[in-house]
Amino acid sequence: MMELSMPKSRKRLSTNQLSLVLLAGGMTAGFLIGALFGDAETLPPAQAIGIVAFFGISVIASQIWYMRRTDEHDLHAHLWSMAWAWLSIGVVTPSWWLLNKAGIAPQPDAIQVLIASMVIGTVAWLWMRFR
Amino acid sequence: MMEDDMKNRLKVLRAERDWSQADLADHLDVSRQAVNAIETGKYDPSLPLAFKLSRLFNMKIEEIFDDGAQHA
Repeated sequence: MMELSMPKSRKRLSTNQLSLVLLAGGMTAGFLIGALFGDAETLPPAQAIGIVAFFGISVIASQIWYMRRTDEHDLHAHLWSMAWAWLSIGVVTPSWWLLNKAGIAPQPDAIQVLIASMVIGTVAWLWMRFR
Repeated sequence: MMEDDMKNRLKVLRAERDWSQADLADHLDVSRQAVNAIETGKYDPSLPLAFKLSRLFNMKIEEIFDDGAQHA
């Protein structure tokens, strides 16, 4: 089972530096994906599968890297922020879908839901980490 | 979130040694925000971190932390 609680022997960067590295990496990846593929009408299937696989593995690997190195207080805040982000997706997506079915909301937009969940998760992390 | 009435003497113990929160954070290998959160009761440390504090101050865990139960 993965050890997440007190992984101090592997810690090299400070907790704040780790957070900045994760944030910078995420923003860079988001910017690159948007810049490279945002205007593309279609993508070749093989290219799309490759990008998705690389993206998925990178996200999971970076999360494991981060959670094994940060301190327990930040880990606590990080896990709660992910819980709030996931809860927001779980509430917003079906609600939006149902409201669309009733004709009082536009078609659900996955990107907007994702951005909203990231904002909610970030606010939760900042609150638990720095209040 | 999930806060309780856990109290601790970290601020006093730190002051006795003339340590800043950053100094204590360095000793514990955590962030200064973690020390602040523990001191102010916003975050309860894990058992491993509580033992680390216990060894650092050469005191029993219950001499540093008080959950109020023994006085009930």
